[in-house]
Parts: sequence; structure tokens; C-alpha cells
Amino acid sequence: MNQVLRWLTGLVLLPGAVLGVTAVVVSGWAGRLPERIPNKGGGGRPVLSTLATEPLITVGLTVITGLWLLGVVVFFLARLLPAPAVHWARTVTQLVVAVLVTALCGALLLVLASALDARSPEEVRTPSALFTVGLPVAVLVVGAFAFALAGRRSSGLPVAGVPPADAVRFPLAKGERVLWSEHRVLRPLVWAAAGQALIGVVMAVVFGLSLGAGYAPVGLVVALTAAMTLAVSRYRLVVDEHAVRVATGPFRREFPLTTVEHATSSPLDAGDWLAAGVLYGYGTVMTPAPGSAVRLVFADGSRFTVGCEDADTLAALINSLRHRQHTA
Amino acid sequence: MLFRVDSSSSTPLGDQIAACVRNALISATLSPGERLPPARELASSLGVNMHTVLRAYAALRDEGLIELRRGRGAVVISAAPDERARLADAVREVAATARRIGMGADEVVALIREAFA
Repeated sequence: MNQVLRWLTGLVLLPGAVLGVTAVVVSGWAGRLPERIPNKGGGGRPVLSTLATEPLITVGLTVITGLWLLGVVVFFLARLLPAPAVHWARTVTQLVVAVLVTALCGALLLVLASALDARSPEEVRTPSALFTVGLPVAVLVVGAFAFALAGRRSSGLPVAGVPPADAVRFPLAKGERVLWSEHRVLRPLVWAAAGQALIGVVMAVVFGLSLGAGYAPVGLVVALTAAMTLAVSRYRLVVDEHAVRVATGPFRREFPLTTVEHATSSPLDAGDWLAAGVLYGYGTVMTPAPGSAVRLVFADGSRFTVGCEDADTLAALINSLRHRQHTA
Repeated sequence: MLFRVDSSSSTPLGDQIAACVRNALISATLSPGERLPPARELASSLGVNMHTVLRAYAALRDEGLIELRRGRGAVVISAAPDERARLADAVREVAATARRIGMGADEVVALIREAFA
């Protein structure tokens, strides 16, 4: 699938479908909804205030449509950014639009579904547990789909020229072959995953006891996110004379060495850690800041930052391999 | 960790690979629990036969430094601190002997370089 089709699907078709289905479902429910629904209270508790149903639907769908269109405008304005940042800005816009539209449409359906066939605000029920659990799952699925549709920045990295003469090098014999291999486990992420799992279990127990067994799966959804955190807690860095390969859990990147202009080593500061992707396009942070890191600089000015235990040696090694490619 | 092999060296390629792992253990670049790269990847990157890598891994396993597990590859099981301590002791002994017979540090280093060549 080409990139234009991907953007069209992720930014236009996906949120449009979610919004369209919501609008169709809501219009089908129009005759079965009470004139007013509870704003405070309801679901077995005394109703303290109410909202008019029809304006809620109109305003809700208008706000969601407005957010969607705003996302489309931001997407087009992203082309004014520096070239390496365009893809990331569009990816973030697509992701935010898809997640927001799905979450808001789901919330609207959740509220209205509990009021179906009620004749007064007092008869409005509590939202069904299936809907409550299904909503975050749907948001996660749509978000993941939107992210996957954005894809990687179309590589097309230009072949780099001669590495700078002042780039630090590592002594290599003429016929010497090398492989840098590093596996790391990011302990803070492992602890975070354990924390998420614990919070999920506690939430399941608390929800189950206080709201009913049907709400326990909400906590389990939180516990499931622990698996995702755990998956990205491991990373691997491999460099040989062909390419630089990095993998954070299931996410893998590979850069042919011919596209690397040179490499430098420096500590990764908090600013870069937070914004490397947006500022430099290819920036990916593989280690919690601050830490020792290698920066690959490509011919188009974009960079890729990767955490490394011995960044000085690795940067020098990459420069030497690049130099040898050119002198060969 | 860094693997480097030189095909023009008189040292067998498998021994060079095993030496890289030993050096990484001595310098604490590798620690117990860490995995070594898969033999196929190492062989491909270094341009050597996979059996050469497997022979090097088998030698390290026989020394009790790594464990070869089906499906998990080669995992470091020993930090090998004894090797470093032994080497440091040997160097101290060499320095003491050199002082006794009136040799300077440069001469000793030159001798070591000759031994390495």
C-alpha cells in the first residue's frame, strides 16, 4: 500500500467510518431515547441534574467532526515543518485523531446506550460492563491500526558521501571483520510493567467488589498493558560492516551503513530524549535519559539516537567502517 | 560487546572469537545472564563458517563460561573473575622479576609486544 493511501485510510477513512457508524447508530436510536438524560446521578441513584438528549447528540457529533477536521488541517500544515519531522508530525496527528474520534464516539454511544427505551432520566441504567470494557479495547485497537497505517518514514535515505576527516576512528586492520552486539534490559520499564500489572489486579478486585463482577475486566485491561510495556523493555543493537540494526521489543529498525555519514557519541539529555523523534526525524530513544548514546548522522541531516554502553567505541567503530568502505 | 576477527592472523578464527568473549568477560562488558549473538548472525557478520562459531561457543561452554540452550542460544553463566586476577598476579610477578634483573618497563612492554606478534 503506498503512503498516500495509508494516510488517506488512517486519517480520513478510519475516523470517518467510526464517526459515520456512530451517527447512523445514534440516528437509529433517536426514537428510543428519552428527551433528557441524567447529567449528575442516575443509574439507580437520585438524578440531580439532566441534559437535553438531542442537543447533546448534535453538539457531540459536531465537536467530534470539528476535531477530525482540525486534525486534517494540522496534517496538511505539517508539510511546513523541516523534512525529517514531517512524517512524525503526521503520524502523531493521525494517531491522536483516530484515538480521540473513537474514544469520543464510544463515550457518546456508551451514554446513549444506557438510556435506550428509558421514558425518563430516572429510568436510565448504568452503562453495561461489556460496553465499558469494550471501549478502551476499541480505542487501543484503532490507535494501533492508525499507528501501523502511518508506517515508517519512506526510507529513501541518500547514500552518504565521504565521512568527515575529523570523525573519531577505531583502529581496524585491513581485513579485519567486526560485529558489535549489545542486548539490554531497561529495568525501569520492567518495574513499570510490574506496577501496571499490580494496579490492574488491584483495580479488578476493587471494581469487582464495589461495582459488581462485570466491571472486574476493566482492571484486567490495565493489566494487559503491562505486557506491552514489558515487550519494549528489551532492546538489541547490532552493528557490522553492512548495517546498524536496533530493536526495541518487536519494533525493529535497520540502517544500511552506506547511508550513515558519520557517528558521534554524547550523553542523551532529557530534551533530546523527549523530542528526538520530532526534531531529528529518525530519532529513536533506546535508553532512559540521561545516558551514553551514539548518534548516527545521515546525509539528509536527520539523525538516529541509540543508547549504548560504550558509545565512544561504537561511534569510532562506525566511523572506521564507513572510512574503510570509502577507501576500499 | 565487540567481536573482531582477522583472517590474516595465524590464530584460528574460532580461537579469535572465543578470545573476544573471554576479553569481554574480563573487562566486565559481558556479565552473567547476557546472551551472545546467534551463531548464524555472528558467522554472517564476521564472514566465517557457522561451524567455526559453534566450535568457539563449544570451547567456551567447556570452560564453563557459557551455557548453550536449545532455543535460547548462548548465555553467559560465569563472570570469569579468576582469569583477570590470575593475569594481574602474573603481571606483578613479571614486574618484580624485571626490577630484580634491572629491566625497565619499556623493555618489558617490548617483550610483551613481541610475544603478542
